[in-house]
Amino acid sequence: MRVKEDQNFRNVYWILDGKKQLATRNLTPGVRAYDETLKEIQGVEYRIWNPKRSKLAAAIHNGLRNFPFKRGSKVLYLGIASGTTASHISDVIGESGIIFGVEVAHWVIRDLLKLAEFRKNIIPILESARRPQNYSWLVTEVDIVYEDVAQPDQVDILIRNSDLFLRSGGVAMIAVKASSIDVTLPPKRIYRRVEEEVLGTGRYELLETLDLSPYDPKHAMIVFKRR
Amino acid sequence: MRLFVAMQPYGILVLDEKGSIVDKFPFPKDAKAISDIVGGGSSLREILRELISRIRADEIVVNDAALKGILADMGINATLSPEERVFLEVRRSPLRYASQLWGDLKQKEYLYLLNEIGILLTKSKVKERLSSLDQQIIKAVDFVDHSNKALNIIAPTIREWYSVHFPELDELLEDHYEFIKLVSIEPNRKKMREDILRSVGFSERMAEKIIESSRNSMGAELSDSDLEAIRNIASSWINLYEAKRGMELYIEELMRRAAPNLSAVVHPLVGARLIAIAGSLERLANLPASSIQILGAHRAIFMHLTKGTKPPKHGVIFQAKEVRNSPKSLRGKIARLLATKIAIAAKVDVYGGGKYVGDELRREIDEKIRKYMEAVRSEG
Repeated sequence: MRVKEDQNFRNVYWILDGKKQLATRNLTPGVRAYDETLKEIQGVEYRIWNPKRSKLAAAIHNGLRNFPFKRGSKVLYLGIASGTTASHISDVIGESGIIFGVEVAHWVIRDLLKLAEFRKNIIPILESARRPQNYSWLVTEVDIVYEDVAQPDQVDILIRNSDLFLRSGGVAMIAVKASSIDVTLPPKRIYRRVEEEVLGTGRYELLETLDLSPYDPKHAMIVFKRR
Repeated sequence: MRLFVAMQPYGILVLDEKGSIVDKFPFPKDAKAISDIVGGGSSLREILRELISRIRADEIVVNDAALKGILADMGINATLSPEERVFLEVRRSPLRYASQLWGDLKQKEYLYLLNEIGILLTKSKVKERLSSLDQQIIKAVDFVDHSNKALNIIAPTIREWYSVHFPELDELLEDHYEFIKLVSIEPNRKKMREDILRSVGFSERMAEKIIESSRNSMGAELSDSDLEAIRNIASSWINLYEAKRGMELYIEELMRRAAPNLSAVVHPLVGARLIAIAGSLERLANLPASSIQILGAHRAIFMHLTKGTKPPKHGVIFQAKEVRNSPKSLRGKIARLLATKIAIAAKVDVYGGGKYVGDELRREIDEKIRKYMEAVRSEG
């Protein structure tokens, strides 16, 4: 079993064990964030990052070029749910980083609370991402807005939050679920529409659009940069 | 002058257009105190009242919905606009502004504080939402109970009335729903055909039986308008019945969310009844098992206390299939067992912070009941 850091992305690892598995270095050794597999290699504990469980992991597997998370990054995570993906981001950004995690459903946020008790870089916020005026007192300016909310108005939610919280030069990532925007259109048309809607504000530029199949069919990760 | 009132984790700032601090109110440097102020509202109200009395502004802009609400209550019109440049500046340099209220502050210290505030506020909100969820459940249980009462009162009326036309059916179909469903679809006994009966859901044998007795019926002939009148109330009955069924499914769904542990121990509908009688999930969680066992047996317990009759062995808990379907000699014992597990499950649902022990409790119940049954059998 060998481990090597990703060529382009710091703090993201590939564990080579017959197959190639994505992993992050556990910020809280001995403590699982969900039911992920832990692997110890040369005294370091890694957490396997499953592309079927996390759209960000799926994006990395599919050749994502823009991975803005690094040590000390400040992140606003819209639709953080129970924190599966966020726990890996938490590993990557380390103790000096911070994730403001917004989730509206109180029954999934319970798991996030458990996570936040161990991972001090996660700030749980039980609010609707549609109403940033309810949490802007708590959130600071961020380097990254990451959104995974699967709502028909998810693009609007992304823009409003990025306008408020994203620093100039910061990155906005949106996991688009085509079927929750419009089931009648082919996914590619929807991705195009999302791009146009964000670019139409004149405040963002498109970095890349990445299909997430086969891990998440009819999903894409679209990445923008704030001017 | 246009002034900007910014709520921040470290306190409230009043700023001018250029972002200079005009006035301020520092919060105590303690996560619990901060989340109490922000989450509770009443002390926030006092703080705002004091700040507002000190400043002179032609126009007030705020960064938070709660601030706007409180000011509106005080008769002050404020604009809610967190996107104002001044607020962006405050968010950009949290440590610089915080240190003006708290003195020097390290990034890590600030981060830990935010983490704690987030956890505390979220916990209290989860609690709030759960308590509102169980109020929904109570209303829904009320509807189910009242519907049942109405359905049971009206059903015999429909049966009796229809028996004028087709008296034999009363004996053939004991189940109210089956009987009335048929009447609502085809009230004329002469028009009953096998395909209609099969579409209602009767077996081939039952359909034949019904048709046979409809042909030899001694019932009176009724006019179309008479039959239509009966069909109308039958349809209304079916509508109410279906609304009640839908509500029961809705309760089950709410229960699995609000009380997953309790729902694993007893059928969600029984759990919902317990919550309804206790008044809330939290109150149920604070009851001793002995009270839960006889919840819903008010009259019996009162008779016991005043007239010295035997104490009741079970209240609503009797509706749990484990109690209802057991030999009579075991029911009290099983009711007590269930009550203890319900007490634990409700406590975990309210105070367990999302813990799930439902399957474990369920296993313990099944195991014990199996032992009770074996003991009874071996005694013969």
